[in-house]
Amino acid sequence: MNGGAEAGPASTRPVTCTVANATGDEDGAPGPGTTFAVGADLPVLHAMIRAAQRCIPVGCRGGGCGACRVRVLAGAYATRRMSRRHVSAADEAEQIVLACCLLPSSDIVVERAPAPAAIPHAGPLGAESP
Amino acid sequence: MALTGVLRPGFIQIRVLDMAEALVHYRDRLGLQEVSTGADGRVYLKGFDEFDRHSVVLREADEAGMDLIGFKVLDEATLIDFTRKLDTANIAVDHVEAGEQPGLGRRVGFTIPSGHRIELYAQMELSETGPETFNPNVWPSEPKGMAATRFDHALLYGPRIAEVTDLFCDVLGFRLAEKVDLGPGGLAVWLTCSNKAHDIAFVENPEPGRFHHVAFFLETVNAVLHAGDIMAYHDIPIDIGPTRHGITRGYTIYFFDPSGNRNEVFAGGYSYYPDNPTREWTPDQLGKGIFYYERELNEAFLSVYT
Repeated sequence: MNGGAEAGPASTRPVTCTVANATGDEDGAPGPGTTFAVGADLPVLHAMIRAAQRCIPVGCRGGGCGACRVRVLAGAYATRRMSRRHVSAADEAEQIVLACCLLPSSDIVVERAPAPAAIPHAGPLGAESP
Repeated sequence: MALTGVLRPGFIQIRVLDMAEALVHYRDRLGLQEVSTGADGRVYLKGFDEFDRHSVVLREADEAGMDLIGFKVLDEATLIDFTRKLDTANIAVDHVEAGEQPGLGRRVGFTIPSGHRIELYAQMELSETGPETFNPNVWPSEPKGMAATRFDHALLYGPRIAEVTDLFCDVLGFRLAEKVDLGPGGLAVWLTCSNKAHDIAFVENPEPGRFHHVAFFLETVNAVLHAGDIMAYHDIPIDIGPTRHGITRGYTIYFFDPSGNRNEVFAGGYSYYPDNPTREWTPDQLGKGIFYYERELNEAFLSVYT
């Protein structure tokens, strides 16, 4: 595990993750918030997929593509290594992480974070990324 | 000899976030042979059916993606000839000394308009564990995991694909096997330098230098399904598949390495000859072209890359 805030012992899991201001829909429209359980050693995004939720966009699931950028609003966590292209050191200081690399050790609250301004991230045909 | 000039994509250097995890993936799951580890930490691997020393180079880095693709050309005279042609086309080249990668000869490198680094080279040492040449068995040792036979091709995302296509065709002697004209969205092209349906592909994208996937060739469609079994058993994230491409007609699974770089296992595909006309797809049929059975793109195809 690299970077991120200090994590508590993994044995404190399972915990819950709440995605603030989200519905269960993939478009992430504002809603009351969505909560799912996060099992031991499972990153938040993988737990969300296992819980059949889609409130955070799913991309490469390995810290490489930046699709699942979120900001941690509350909770203790560690992270796996994330592509610097998508999460700068300054981002990390502001609790911006990739959900696929986010390992909470307490109940955690996150919100979706926009892509870095330097990355247009619009695909061909003008398709907007998630 | 009919096949001259650029022979094939010979090696790809991929950035990974965690070398130990990457090695488990590329060696134990894909089944590439681990060749060596360099003094700088780069790890060299190859498919069991490749004669050359290595074809995949893993470099641990702060971000995922691809550093470069090296294309092997026929011989030194061909390398000199391509260097002249690149110069005539006003493409700035640089030179990488022999031995920068173990067993690899001198390289001529340049950046193409899509922002990717391409290199040409003529010499690489033969592998000590390559295919047998005297009363040869079907493999030199029993393949592991998904039994990847070789590094086959890559798909890259970036801008100015029309210029990239001209460079590959007019300067490097590739042929345009298939294309999609996306109108204001640009171009998607499948280029071949050989008898394969594609050796490299590009899709127009505003961000330069992006890496969509690296593909490994498997012997049969059954091997693609077996690869899917391995992905499920080891919980490797699958992007899509098993399915088939309309473009190239190959059978495929897209999946991700532990750093989020997309991989493909690929089998089949038609044989290309230089007198074949270019196959063309319209944007409204792009979904069928990419994923022939689903007939629509998944969201990740356009937006998820490293």
